[in-house]
Amino acid sequence: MKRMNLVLLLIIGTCIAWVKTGEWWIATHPVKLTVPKGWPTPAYDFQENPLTREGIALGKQLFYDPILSKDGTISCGSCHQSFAGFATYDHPLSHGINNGFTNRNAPGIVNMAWQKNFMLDGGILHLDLQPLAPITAENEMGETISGVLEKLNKDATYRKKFQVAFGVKTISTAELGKALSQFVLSLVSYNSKYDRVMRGEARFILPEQLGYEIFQKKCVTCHPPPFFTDFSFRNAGLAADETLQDKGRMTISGKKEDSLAFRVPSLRNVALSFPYGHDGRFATLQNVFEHYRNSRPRPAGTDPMLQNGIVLSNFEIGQLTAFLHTLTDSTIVNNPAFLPEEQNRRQKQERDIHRNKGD
Amino acid sequence: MRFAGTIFVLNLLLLPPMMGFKKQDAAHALHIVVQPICGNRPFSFDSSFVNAMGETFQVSKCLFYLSNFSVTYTDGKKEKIPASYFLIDLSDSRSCKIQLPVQNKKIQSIHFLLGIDSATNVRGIQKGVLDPARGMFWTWNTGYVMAKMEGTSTASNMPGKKFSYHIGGYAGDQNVVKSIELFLTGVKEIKKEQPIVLLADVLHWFNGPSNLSIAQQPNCHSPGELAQRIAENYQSMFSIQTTPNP
Repeated sequence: MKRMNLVLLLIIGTCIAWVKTGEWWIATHPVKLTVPKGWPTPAYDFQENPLTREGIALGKQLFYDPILSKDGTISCGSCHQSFAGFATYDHPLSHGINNGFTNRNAPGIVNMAWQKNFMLDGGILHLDLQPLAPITAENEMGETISGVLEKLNKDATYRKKFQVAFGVKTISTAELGKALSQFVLSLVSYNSKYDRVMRGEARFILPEQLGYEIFQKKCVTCHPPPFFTDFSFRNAGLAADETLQDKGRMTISGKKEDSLAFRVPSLRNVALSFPYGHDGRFATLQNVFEHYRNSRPRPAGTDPMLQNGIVLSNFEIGQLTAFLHTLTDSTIVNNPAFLPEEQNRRQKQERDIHRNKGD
Repeated sequence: MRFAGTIFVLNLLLLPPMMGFKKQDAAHALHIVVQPICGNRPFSFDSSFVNAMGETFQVSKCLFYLSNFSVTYTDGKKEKIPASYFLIDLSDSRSCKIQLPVQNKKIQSIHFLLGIDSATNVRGIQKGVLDPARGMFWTWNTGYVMAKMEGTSTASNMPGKKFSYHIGGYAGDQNVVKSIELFLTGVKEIKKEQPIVLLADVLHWFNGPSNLSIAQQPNCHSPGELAQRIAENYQSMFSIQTTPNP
């Protein structure tokens, strides 16, 4: 019996020794990023941050957790809304803490694995670094990095999840960035009607087909597929808002010629992501078309491509609108995989109400 | 006997975790200690100083990165010190001590960057002294704040009479990273474990090729021309102390 105790003690001792070194032998489950056929190689370095089921789930929890903001009111998902293709729905300027406005209309964040720099001014050069900007901006989440880390490290559930996903005992900025990246990287939008037509799985109806042809002639230079942006920064001839005084790319590059240049937005899920423009000044697609076809002289510095506007008839605008609606990806929008778990549970319960008792 | 075997196997299991605690061989090291001065006076956060423009100022915060160290031995051989990144915080004497693993040979000069190399600026989120949580990183315009000085001055027209210089930028014509080489000639024979004293003269932030006026420029918070002007000034802040402290 004594010897049994000794053995037991040794087993416990061994366990403690393993735990102390932080080498939890809990296996994570690798996830492979979907790279749609014909798309380029992703720009993100997955070797530095291999996708795992645990990492993506943790990233999703953080994405929807207002713990990242100073007063616990704003999460990433507050402005990057699933039902708007992960852009801001119906609000010209995205909202921040203290009932405030941010400086811009948050863009959709699908297909980020292929993007090399981030923000409408391209100021951020690594996806992992991207969340630090909204977290620390005074008019967005208003927190400090150390403040967020302190809150997360106090939370036993988060500590455990970070340990499982990244093997760390203490959460640092690096793991926070990596976890959020993992979730965002998993948002690959490639199942819109347009994609299915290109894969030969569906057919455009006539207005969509005509719109597609007009798009190829008049829009595709700045909005080439598969991302429907060339990722460049261009001055679309919009005068700066007097209050915001947002100079766009010039803020980053310090170059005069970059004044009022903003990133060409992706048109994926564009039908859902209104309003439009970097400050959301255009309420509808119609407003955007009107801006581009307006033939009045453009301000100095406007992109040469847009200097004289784009000739568009009412008929063409109708067909283009039909085509742009084919870029809506219903597998991204309101997909439970990309929604907060809490919301998924709630929706499940709600559905149960309508079931027959015998079900 | 069977139990003895089990115990032996269990002890083997214990080994790998223990190995993590194995101490590395203590190689020969070069010890450097950063000692702040201001002009010909010792530096202190409690004292005020006067710059070349005649402005009185007091420093409340002064931090800078020293990185990518290498040493040249008297035999002409150069050696890079891998992963050498240090965040010097003048308010924290522990951060002012630098230890570099070098060979047991006479050193002719030390070389380092005042700032962080461009590759590390864009490599994603780093740890330790390079963690953005240390407050030396711009989140809205990717890159490290290479050096930071904050304080108050009667000349400042900012709220609280404050001035604040956050110097950064690593790309193209925004680059403020300075390459510095200092020769150890004249330094008395370095005794083992006795540190080399690297004097850091904070007055050089203001006085230099183009004197900085706090009244005219109380703030610098982005890469660009002003950041470069200040970096041009402060790049000559370092010297090696040849005579020991009295």
